[in-house]
Amino acid sequence: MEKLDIRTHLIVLISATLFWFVFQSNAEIHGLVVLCALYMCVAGYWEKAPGFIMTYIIMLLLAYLTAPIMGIMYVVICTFARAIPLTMVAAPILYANPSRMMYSFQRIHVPKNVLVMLCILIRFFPVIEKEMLSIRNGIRARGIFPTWWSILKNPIMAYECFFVPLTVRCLKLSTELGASAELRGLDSSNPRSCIYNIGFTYKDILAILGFVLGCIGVMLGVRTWLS
Amino acid sequence: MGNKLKMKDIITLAIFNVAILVVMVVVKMVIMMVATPAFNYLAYVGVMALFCAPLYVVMSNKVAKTGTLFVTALFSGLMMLLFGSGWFLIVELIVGVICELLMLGENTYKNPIRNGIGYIVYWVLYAVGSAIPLYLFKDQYLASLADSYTEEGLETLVYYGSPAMVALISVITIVFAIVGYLIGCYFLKKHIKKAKLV
Repeated sequence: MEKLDIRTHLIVLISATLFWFVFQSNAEIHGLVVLCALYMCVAGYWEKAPGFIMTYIIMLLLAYLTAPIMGIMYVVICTFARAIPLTMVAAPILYANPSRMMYSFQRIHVPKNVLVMLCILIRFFPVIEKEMLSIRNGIRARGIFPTWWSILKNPIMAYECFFVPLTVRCLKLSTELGASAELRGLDSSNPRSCIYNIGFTYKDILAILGFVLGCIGVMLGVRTWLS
Repeated sequence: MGNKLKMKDIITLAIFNVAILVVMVVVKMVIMMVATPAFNYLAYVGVMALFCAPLYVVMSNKVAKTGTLFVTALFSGLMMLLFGSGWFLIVELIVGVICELLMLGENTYKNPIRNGIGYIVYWVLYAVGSAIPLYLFKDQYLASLADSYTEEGLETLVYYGSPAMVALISVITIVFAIVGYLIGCYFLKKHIKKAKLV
């Protein structure tokens, strides 16, 4: 199935954020989660949607279970759970091909510098996570902090052992990526071309309309039911 | 050398800011789970400033061009947007502009004192900005949190949003940001400059 345009995902993300502000009760957020899951299915990411829904349900259950014991945990878990619907509509952008994304956003005149930053912002989180894990493994392999409580014995050394390699890795990665980007002509002033067929179709318009109308329906339905 | 950001500067800023965001999220999560609510409200921005400083010092010295603090603010705002606090993106954009105005001039990011002032002001404004909804649209803000906060949690939030508490939070943030910045400068001199990476 041909996937929806990335600009459609962006419009839906903006709409979801606006409705997210308007939605106040948990029931409205539950409705938004269902709508976002449906949108993910329409956008061709149906295999990813159940994972998000399960995470949302587990977080809500944990929040309600921990609320009587530790109020702050309820707040923490609820804050993260409420961010899930926005992550769900952002997911199609996160999983999109960078080439498609850059070309698509270029057509709505997003500045190139902003585009490059967005692409790195989206793509680089797993890399940084991996780097952090390898730094932790390196520390363990050298026997510097064999257990987690040995960090508490020498926190200043732990700070140095973690942040110096992380900074150096970031520097190396930025140098390599910068050189690679220049070689690939990312700095070129010519307009970018793309091998993918990119354009707005009736499916995109239907997806946006369906999502917005769904959100309005959830809002009106829940508010009528609650009153 | 021009003061305009080139592609390699953009990439450096983006990579370092992603690392800063990861550190911020980890610090916030750990503090929320481990520390008391008082410490959480009073010191979480300061602790973030302490832990992000080494990355910021190296990034600002490597790029050293107008826009460094603005991009840092923009990334924080975008992250908060994803967590559902879209208003914070506007706050961060204003913070970014103020910090860039402070950093106007030749080679200001290479000047340790000017750079330090920029970094500290950025974090103080970040702390103050977090309390803005309690002053501008308090009722709507509290109503939007009613389902995800307990009654006690909301009372604590309002208490730590009072002007006196915001002033105290700012002072704590300044202290942590200074300590973090000094440690960052020490790392830069001891490890990064010695290895000729910047």
